[in-house]
Amino acid sequence: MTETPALDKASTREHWGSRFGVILAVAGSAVGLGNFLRFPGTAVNNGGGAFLVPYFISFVILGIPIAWCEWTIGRLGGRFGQNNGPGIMYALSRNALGRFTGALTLAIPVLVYMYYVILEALCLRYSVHFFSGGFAELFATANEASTSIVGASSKFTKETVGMNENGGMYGNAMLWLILLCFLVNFVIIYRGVTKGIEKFCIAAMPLLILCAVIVLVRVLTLDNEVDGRTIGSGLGFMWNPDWGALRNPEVWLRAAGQIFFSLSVGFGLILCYSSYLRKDDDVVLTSLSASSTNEFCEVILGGMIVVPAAFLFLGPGNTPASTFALGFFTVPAIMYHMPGGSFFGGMWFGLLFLAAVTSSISMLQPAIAFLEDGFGLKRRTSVTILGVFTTGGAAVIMYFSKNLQALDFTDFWCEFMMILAGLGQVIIFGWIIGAKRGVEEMNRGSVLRTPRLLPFFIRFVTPTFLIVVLSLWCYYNAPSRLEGMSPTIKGQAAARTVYAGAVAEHFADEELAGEALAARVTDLLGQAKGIPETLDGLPGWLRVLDQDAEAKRADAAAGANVARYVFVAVILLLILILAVSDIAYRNRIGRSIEQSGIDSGEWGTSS
Amino acid sequence: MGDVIVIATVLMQEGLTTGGIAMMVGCMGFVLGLCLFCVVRLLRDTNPAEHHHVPLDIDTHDTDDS
Repeated sequence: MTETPALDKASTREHWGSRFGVILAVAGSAVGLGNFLRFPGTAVNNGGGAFLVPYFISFVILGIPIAWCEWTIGRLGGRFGQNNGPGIMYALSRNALGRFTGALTLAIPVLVYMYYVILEALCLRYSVHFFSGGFAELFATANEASTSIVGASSKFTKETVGMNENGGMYGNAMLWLILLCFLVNFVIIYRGVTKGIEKFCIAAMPLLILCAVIVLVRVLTLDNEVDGRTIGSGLGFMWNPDWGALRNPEVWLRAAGQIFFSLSVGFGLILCYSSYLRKDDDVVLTSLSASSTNEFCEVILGGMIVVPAAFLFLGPGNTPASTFALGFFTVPAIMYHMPGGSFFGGMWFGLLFLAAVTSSISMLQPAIAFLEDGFGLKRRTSVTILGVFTTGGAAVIMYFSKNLQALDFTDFWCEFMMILAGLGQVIIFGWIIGAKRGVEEMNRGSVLRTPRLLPFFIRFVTPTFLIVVLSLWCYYNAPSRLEGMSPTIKGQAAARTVYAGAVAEHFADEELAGEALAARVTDLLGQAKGIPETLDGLPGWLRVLDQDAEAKRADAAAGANVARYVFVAVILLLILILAVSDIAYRNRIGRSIEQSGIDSGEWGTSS
Repeated sequence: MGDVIVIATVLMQEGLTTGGIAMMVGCMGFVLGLCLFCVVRLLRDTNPAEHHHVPLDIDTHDTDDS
C-alpha cells in the first residue's frame, strides 16, 4: 500500500492535553447566551418553576443520551483518523442518511458562526460601553428627558445593530468589533486544539463562572424595594410554578428545544471535539461532567440573575421571551437601576462575551478539521479559506440588518437542521452501529457504567421523542415561517395592520375590542389575512392611508424576500457541502479510513 | 438549619410560594448534586492516564513465550 500523507497525519493526530481541558472545552461550547438569557426568558414565559419539570425530563431522555451517543461516535470516528463530521459519518455509515447527517454537522456550525459572531461583538460592545460609562451617560440623558430607560436601551441597541435599515451595521463601531472578534476566534483556532482551544477554555470558563457568581451575589443581596417589589418577589416571579402550563404541548416543546440547543447536541461540535480523544479515554463521565457544568450555568446562574432583577427594577412586563430583547433591551436597563450597575453591567456582558468566544471557536473547528482531513490542507490555509468564507457570510447577514431578519431566519433554519442532525446521529447510533454494540463502545475506558436501559432508550425512546419534538416544532413554526417567505402574503398582512389600526381608531368611541373589533375589521377588509384586491370599496377615511399601507406592504415584502434569500443560501450551502464532502470521500477521507487499519465492516459500514 | 428556615420564611413573605421554593431548591439540589457527583468521580479517578490508556505492551524477551 502506498504511503500517503493521510497516514502520516493519522499517526500525528492532535489529542486533548487533559480530561479537565476537554470537559471545559465542551462545556464552553455549550455555555453561551442561551444559558444566561434564553433559559430564564423561556422559563418565566412558560410556567415558571413548572417549566423545569419537562426541562429535566428532556435532559434525562434527550440531552444525556444524545450527548453520550455523539461523544461515542466522535471518539470512534477519531480511530478512523477523522476529526470532521462528514468523515466520521462516512466511516460509520455510507448510506444517504450518514452522508446527509455528516453534511449537516458541518453546515450548522459554519452557518451559526456567521450570525453568532455578530452577537459576540455586541456583547463586547456593551461590556466596553458599560465600563467606559457610556451607558451611564445615555441613561442620565434619558432620565433628564423623562424617557423610558428600557426605551433608551432598545433605541441604542437598534442603532448599534442597524435594525432600522439594511446596512446600518456598517456605519458604526460594530463593524470593527466584529472584525476584532473574527481575529480573536481565528487566532485561537490557528493555534490548534491543545494550545489554542483547550488553553483558552481552561482560562475562560472558570473566569466566566466567577464573574457570573459575582453578579449573582450582587443580585441576591439587593435590598432595594421598588413599588413593593423585592428580590424575593423577583425569585417568586421566576420560580413559582404555574402547573396549568404543563397541559400545553408548546411548553414541552420549548423545554425540549431548550435542552437540545443548550447542550449543543446534534450540532457537530461534540462530534468534532470528542474525535480528539484517544481510543480508551472515558466519554461517559466526561460527557456527564460537561453537561452538568452547562446545567450549573443555566439553571443556577442563568435562572437566578436576569429575570428576578428585571422583575424587581422594571416590573413583570419587562421580561420578554425573546433572547435578544431580554439580553440587549432589558438587561442594560436593569444595570442602570442596580447599585454599581456600570461595573456589574460591564462584567455581565464581559462574561457573555467570553461565553460567546468559547462557543464560536467550537463552531469553527469542525470546518477546519474537514479542510485538513478532507483535502490535506495545512492549518494556515484552512484558517484562511474558512476565514474568507465566514467573513463573506457574516457580511451578508450584517447587511440585511433591518429587524435582524437575516439573522433571525438563519437561526430558524439552523434550529431545524440541528434537530434533524440530532435525529440522524441517534438513528445511526441506535440502528446502524447498533445500540447494544454502541453502548459497549461507549463504556470502553469509562469509570462510570451507563444505565442498563440505555440501549433501549437510544433505540426507541430518544428517537421517538425527537420525532415528536420535530413534528411539534414544524406544526408550530412552519406555517408562519413559510408565509413569512411569501412577499404577497407578508406584504398584504402588513398592509392590513395599517388599515386595522385605523379601524380601531375610527371606532374608538364604541370601545370595540377583541372579537367585536376583529369582526368590524373583517366587515371592511374581508375574511382573508390580507386586504381586498381592489381598494375602491373601502371608505374614504381608510383610503387616506393607502400610501402608508403601500409603504408597509413594500417593506414587509422586502423582508419576505430576505427570508427567501436565506432559505436558498442554506440549501445551496448544504448542496455545496454534500458535493465537496463527496470529493473528499472519494479521495483523501476514503484513503485515510482505509489506512486506519479498522475493518470497514466492523461498525456496520455499508456502501 | 435555623437560618435556612428563616430565609425560606422571608422569601415566602416576599412572594415565593411553597411550590416555588420546592422547585427552586429541588432543581438546584439536582444540578448541584449532579455536579458534585461528577467532581467526586473525576477526583476519585486520580490517574486517568493510567486508567484510560492501554498499558504499553513491552516484550522483555525474558519469559518462556517471548
